Amino acid sequence: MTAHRGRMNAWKSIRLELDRTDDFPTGSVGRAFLLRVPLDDEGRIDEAAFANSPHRATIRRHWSSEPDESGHLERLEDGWAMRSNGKADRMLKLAGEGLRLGERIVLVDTTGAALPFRIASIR
Amino acid sequence: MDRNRVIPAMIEATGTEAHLRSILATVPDAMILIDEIGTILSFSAAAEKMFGYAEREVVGENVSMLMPSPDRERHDGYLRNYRKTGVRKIIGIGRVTTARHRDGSTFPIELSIGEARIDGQRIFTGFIHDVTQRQQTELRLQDLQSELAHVGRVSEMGTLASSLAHELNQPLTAIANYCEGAAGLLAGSPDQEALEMAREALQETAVQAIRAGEIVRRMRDFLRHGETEHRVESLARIMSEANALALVGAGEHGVDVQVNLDPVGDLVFVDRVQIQQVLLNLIRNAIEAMIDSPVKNLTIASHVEGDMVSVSIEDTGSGVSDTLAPQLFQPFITSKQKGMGVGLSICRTIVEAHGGRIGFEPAAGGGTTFRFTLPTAEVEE
Repeated sequence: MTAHRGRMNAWKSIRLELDRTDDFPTGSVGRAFLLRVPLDDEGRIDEAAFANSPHRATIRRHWSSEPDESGHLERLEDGWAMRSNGKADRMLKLAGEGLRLGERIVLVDTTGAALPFRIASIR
Repeated sequence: MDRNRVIPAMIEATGTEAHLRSILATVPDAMILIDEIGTILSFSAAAEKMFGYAEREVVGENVSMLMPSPDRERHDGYLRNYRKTGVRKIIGIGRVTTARHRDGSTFPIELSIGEARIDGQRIFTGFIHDVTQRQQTELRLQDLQSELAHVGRVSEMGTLASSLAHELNQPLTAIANYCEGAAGLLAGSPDQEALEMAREALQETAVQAIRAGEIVRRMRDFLRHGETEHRVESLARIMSEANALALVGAGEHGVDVQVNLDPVGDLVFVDRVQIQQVLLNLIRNAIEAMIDSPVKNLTIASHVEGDMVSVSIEDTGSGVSDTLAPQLFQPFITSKQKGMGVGLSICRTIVEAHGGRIGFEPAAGGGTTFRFTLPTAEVEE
C-alpha cells in the first residue's frame, strides 16, 4: 500500500524557468516549461512509473509573445527528451541527472545549442 | 519605456511614494502597469498573489506572459494596432477573458484597461478581477448569460419547428378538405340544404385559417426577441470569452487548458453569442467528463478546411459510451444526473444554422474530440 501510494505521489508538476543567458542577463520567468513527470526519491525520472502511463508525462511550453505549445516526454537511448508541437516539432534533450528545486538544468536542442533553466517549483 | 522615469512621475502625481505604495497595496483587484509595447512597469501586491510572481521577477517582462494562447502571441499585435489606428477595442470597455497563473493553470478574469500619459509617454493600467470564485454574477457575465439564455430559446426553435410544422399541417389539411367539400356541394344546382352545408364548411374553413394564423403568431412571438445577427467576428475573441465563462467555477478541478488556433482562419461569419453557446456547452461537457480522470487536459484547436474553419475540443475524460453515441445529438439524451440533455442538440441546431457540421470521435488519449465547422470570413487575397 505504501509503495503504491508512493508511486501515485511520484507524479510531479515541475516548472522550469529560463536562467541567465546573453539575451536575458537576469533570466526570464516569462519563458518556461511545465513538465508532468514521475520522480523517484533522488529526483530522477521514474522509468517504471513512466512506462506504466507514458501519456501522463506531458510538456507545456509557455513563452512570452509566442503560442503555447504542448507535447510529451520521450525516452531516448541515452536519456530523456521533451517533444512539443509548435510551428515545427521541437525536441529538447534534458542534460543531467536529477530534477531538484532551485537547481539548474540544461536543455539541448537538435542543433546542439544549450539553454539553461532553473527549476522554479516542484509540486 | 523606462520604469525609472514612470514611477517617479507617478509619485509626483500622487503626492508621495508612500501614498502611491499604499494605493497599490490596497487596491483589491490586481493592478498592472505596462508601457506602450507591453513591458511590465509595475505589479501590485494583489497581482503578485493572483498570478504567483513577485514584482521584481516580472518587471521588464512582456505582459503577454500572463496570458494563455491565443492572446499570448497576439497581444503585441493588439498594442501595435492601437498605436497605429487609435481604435479602442478594450480600453475603457473592459472584457471577460482568461489569465494564466505561474503554476500553468488558467482562470477567468474581468479586465479593465485605462490609458494615461505620464512624462509624455503612454502607459496602460490594467485592473484585473478574478471571477473564478465569484459568488454573485458580475454584470458583464450576467449580460452574456442572459444573451445565452436567449439563444437557448431560439435554438429550441429548431427542435420545435418540426412539431409546429406538423401542427400547422392539421388546419391546412382541414381547410383543403372543407373547401373541396364546399366546391362539390355548390356544383350543379344546389338545394337549400346543400347551400347550408356549404356555408358551414366555409365557416369551418375560416375557423381553421384563424387557428393556422394563431400557430404562426405563436412561432413569431417565440422568436420575437431572438433574431440572430451574423457578423464578421474574431474566433480568438469568441473563444477567449467562452473559455473564461466555461472556467467560472471550474478552477478547483485543475483542468489544463491549451488553445491552439490557426491564425489564418481567425475571421468567421457567425452570430457571436450563438457560437459562444456552442463552445460553452462543449467546454463544460469536456470539463465534467474529466472530473474523475487522473489527466485533465482540454485542448481547443482550429484549422482551416477550404472555406470553413474546423474547431475541435478534445478532453481526456471518460469518453462516450457505445449505447449513448448514436443518439448523442438528439434532445433529452443525457448521461448526467442533472441537466435536460438539450445542450448538444442546441449545439447541432446552431452549427447547422451556420451551414456547418458537428460530430465527435474518440480521442487518442481515451477521451472524446468534438469537432464543428463554421464559415470563414477571410478575404481572399
